[in-house]
Amino acid sequence: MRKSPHLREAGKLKIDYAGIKAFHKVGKYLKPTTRLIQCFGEEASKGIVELCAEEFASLVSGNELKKDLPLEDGYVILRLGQDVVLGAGLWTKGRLISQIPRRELREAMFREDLWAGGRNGN
Amino acid sequence: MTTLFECYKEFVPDFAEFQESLQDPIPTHLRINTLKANPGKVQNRLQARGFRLIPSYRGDTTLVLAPDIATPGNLLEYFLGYIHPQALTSCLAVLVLNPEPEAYVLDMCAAPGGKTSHMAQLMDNTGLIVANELYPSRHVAMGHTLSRLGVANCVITSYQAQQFPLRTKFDYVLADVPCSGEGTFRRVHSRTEYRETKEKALLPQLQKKILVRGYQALKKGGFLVYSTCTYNPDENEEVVTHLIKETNAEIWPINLESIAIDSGLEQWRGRRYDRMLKRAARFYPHRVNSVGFFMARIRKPE
Repeated sequence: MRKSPHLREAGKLKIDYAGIKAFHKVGKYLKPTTRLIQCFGEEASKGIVELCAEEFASLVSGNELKKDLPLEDGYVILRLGQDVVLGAGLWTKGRLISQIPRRELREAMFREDLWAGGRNGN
Repeated sequence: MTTLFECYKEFVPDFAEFQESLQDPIPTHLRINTLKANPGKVQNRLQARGFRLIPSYRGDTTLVLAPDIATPGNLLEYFLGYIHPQALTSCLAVLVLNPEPEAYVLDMCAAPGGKTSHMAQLMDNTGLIVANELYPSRHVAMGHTLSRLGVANCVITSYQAQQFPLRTKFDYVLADVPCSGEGTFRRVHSRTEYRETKEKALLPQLQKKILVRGYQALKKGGFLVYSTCTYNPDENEEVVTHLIKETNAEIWPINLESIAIDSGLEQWRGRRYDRMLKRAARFYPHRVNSVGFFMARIRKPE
C-alpha cells in the first residue's frame, strides 16, 4: 500500500484503520499475527513446523506438543501438511504452543477425515 | 397464507413463482478468494469431502452455489480465508462496477466488508480502497473480514456517507446503501411475516443524499454502481431518477452473461422515472436463486 500513488490522496481523509495488522506487542516481544502468517507464511524458508491433523487438533484444543525440532526458541509458522499455512506457534524449551486465536476455530475444522483432499495434495 | 409483497404484483414477473421462491431459504453461495487460494484447488478440496459446488456465473470460477454446506463458517477453508459466504447478487454488483487494478475506489457503506473484499480481489490487492462505514461498532467485524481474506489495499474511514468529504475524487464508487432489505426476506417458518418498519419511509431521502454525494466524489469518466437489496421502486428507480435530475449522470447498460436480469421500471403508482432507468437491473429470487437486488451502473461524463 505504501507504493500506492493514491495514498497521498487518501491522506486528506481521517483514516481509522489501514491494511492488515502485522504484529502484536506481547511483553517486550513482537508476535506476528495469524493473518500475517497466513498471507506470507508460504514465502518462508525456515521456522516452519509441519503438523498432521491430529497434532493440529491437539494444539488448538490447548495442549502443548513435545517435539524434537532443530529450531531456536521463538515464534514459528504452523503448517498443516505441506501446503496449508495456519498461523503462528510458539516454540520454547522443546514445547510447541499454538498462538492461533481459539475463538476462530471450530472442531469441524481439524477433523482428519475432513482433510483427505489437503493431505493428499491436488 | 397471505401474499407477500402484493403491492409489487404489477411489475414482478411470474408473481406466483416469485411467491413460491420466498418459501425456500436463501441458498449458500460462496466466493472463492483468489487473494489467498487457487479456485481449482479449493473446489477440489471441498468436492473431495463430498460437497457439491455448482458454478453460478458462467466464466467465473470463483462463484459457486454450495447447497450441501449449511454453515460455511465451520470450515477450515473459511478460517484460512479461502472462501467467503456471499450472495450471488451481492457479488454481481462488484462485477458490474469492475474496478481495475491500481484504481482508487470508494465503498461508501462498506460493512460488513464482503463487497469491499471482492473489489480487493478483482484489483489483486493493488491500488487503494477507502472503505467507509459510519458506525465504529461495525468496524471490528469488517476489519476481521478484510484481514481474514488477506485484503491489504484498504483503509477504513467513518464518515456519514451523505457527507463524505470531497477533497479527493475516485475512479470508482460503490454506493450499496442502507435499504429496507426486502430482497433478503424468506418465509422459512409458516409464521414468519414480513414487517415494514416506520423507518422505511425515511430511507429514500437518505439514499438520494448518499447517491448524490457518491457521484460528486467520482472523477469524470468514472463509474459508480448504486445497489440495494430491495424491490421497492421508491428506494431504487426513484433515487436514481433524482440523481439524473440533479446532475449530468448517465446510466449505462449492465451486461451479465447467463444471468436473468429484468430491466428497471419506467413507472410505478403514477410516478414516472427517467427513461434511462430501463438500463438498470432488477434481480428476483425466482430468476436468479439469490437475494433480490437492484443495481444501476452510472457514469460521470468527461
